[in-house]
Amino acid sequence: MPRIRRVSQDRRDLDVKLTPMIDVVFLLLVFFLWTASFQIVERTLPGSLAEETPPGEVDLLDPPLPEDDFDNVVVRLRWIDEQVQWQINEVVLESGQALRDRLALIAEIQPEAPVVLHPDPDVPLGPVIDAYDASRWAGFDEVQFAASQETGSSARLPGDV
Amino acid sequence: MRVPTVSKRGDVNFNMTPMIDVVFLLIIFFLVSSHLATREAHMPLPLPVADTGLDPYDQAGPRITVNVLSDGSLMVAGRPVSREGFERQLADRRAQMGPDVEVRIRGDRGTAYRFVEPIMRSCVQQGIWNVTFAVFRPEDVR
Repeated sequence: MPRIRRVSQDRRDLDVKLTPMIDVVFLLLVFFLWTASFQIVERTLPGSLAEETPPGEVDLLDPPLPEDDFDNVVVRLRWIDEQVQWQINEVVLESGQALRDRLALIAEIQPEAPVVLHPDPDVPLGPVIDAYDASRWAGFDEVQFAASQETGSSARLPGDV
Repeated sequence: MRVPTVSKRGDVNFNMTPMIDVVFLLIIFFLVSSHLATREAHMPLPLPVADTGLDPYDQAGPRITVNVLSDGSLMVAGRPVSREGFERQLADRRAQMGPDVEVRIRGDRGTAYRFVEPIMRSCVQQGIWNVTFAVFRPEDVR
């Protein structure tokens, strides 16, 4: 008989201690659920701009380099039939991966060459940032967006004839 | 005479538990509500994906965040603005904070480049060179 009594007493003790524990556990659960961020962490991609100099005007900031030494690597993104077409200095590339490979190859030879991104106005931002990212990833020192003087106008590029 | 004092002390100790409970609940409530308040400024957008993105907490300074929605409309500080309105705000901020102000472009990855380019051009015209793009890491999106 005394044994049974002790057991029941023990159980009662256990019951009494469970309530605050459940309280605390619930509080911790709620706390961590709320503080856990379900939002994807955003990162920052530093951008840089190149104002296109209108024909006939001299760019005062950058003295013009000899044309043959360091040609601009002009990455052009065209929007043809709702699809992106990548071009490096007028050479058409079939995929974004091909662009990455080609840029990595050029960067190995001359990382000092300035890369100028020139997307068509209709190209979505995703592929534009992708190409910009690819140029940075390849290791070029200078990657810039070409900003034409007027929106949507087909601006002349340094390599255009 | 001693017995009542002991029982009183015991009462005080016993009342502490719900008080701590309530205080904890209040702390959590305020933590959560402040968390929600900061998150309100971030409108959910499918941002572009990039490998070379940097940790955003490295750059602490004056910043203007402009959201470019998929239809090309602009949102600054949770309010829709026209292009002219944005340029005015940009000029104001430039005057207040100086040329080091960061312009953070949170663009929908589906928005056309022609809506983003004017923002960058306005920044250059205002003499702001610190233009950044908000991006996701590829491993976070897949």
